[in-house]
Amino acid sequence: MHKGDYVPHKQPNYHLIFALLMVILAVSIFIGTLTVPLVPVILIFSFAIAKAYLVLAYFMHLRYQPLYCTLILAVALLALYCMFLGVIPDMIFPPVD
Amino acid sequence: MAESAHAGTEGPVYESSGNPTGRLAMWWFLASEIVIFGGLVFTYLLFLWRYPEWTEEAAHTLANAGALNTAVLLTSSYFVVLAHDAAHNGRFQKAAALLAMTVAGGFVFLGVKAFEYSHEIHAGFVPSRSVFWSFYYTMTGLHALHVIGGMVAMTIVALAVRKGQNPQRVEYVGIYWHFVDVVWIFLFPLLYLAS
Repeated sequence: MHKGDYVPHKQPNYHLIFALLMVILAVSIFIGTLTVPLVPVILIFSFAIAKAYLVLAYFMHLRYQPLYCTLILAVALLALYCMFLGVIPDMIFPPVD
Repeated sequence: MAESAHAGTEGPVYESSGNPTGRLAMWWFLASEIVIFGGLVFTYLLFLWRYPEWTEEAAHTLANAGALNTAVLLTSSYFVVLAHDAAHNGRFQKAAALLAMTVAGGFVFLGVKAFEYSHEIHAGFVPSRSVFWSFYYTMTGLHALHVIGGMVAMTIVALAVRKGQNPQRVEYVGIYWHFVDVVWIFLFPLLYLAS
């Protein structure tokens, strides 16, 4: 097998991953009901990233794919980041009347 | 030829990429989808930064319905990964049944979304009301179109895999469905909880 090839792996415990996802969702919804400013927003998005990681890594098996599969997705994210940086000045500086 | 944990059900694995062509194509396809949805999400975030009052508009979305739909999509993702596992182990009838349950999850998702749209439109929250609601309908509508597309593809794959044909496609359609789930994982807090 070449370096970076699809890694033969034991089947992840899908039931445990699903249970974890549901627990994180329940916690996110609870935090969404809190009225404290800012902290819930940071926590909610942290939990969203955690849920996305679990789905990507274990349900989509990205964890067991060659590295270049992750890089394919990373290139798309990099393109978005460039767009984000390019548009930020328009958002920071209001238009001159 | 590269060895694979799922050898035998996923088609040829090519030396150069270490991956079946179908799976590799799915990753490229998802990269293009990331640009589509990511572009919308980043633009939404930039507007949210500029117009923080949007959070007041977001308070009118139905968070409970959004939460229910998140649970439905996560459950359907669970079904489809079990279908992949069943197809890999040669249990094609079970794989087809699990795919059918995933499609049923898609119908539930669309039903809840239709209820939400109906409620919001009756309350006057139409796309022309503000830029927030334009974003809301564009992002959730585009996502719902992807759900419908996934349901159609999954039905076709389920009918074939029931006869033992092309079981590797269960994984490919599953990867797509999980991606649709991941998109919703981010849309839910952005549109429903960030208020």
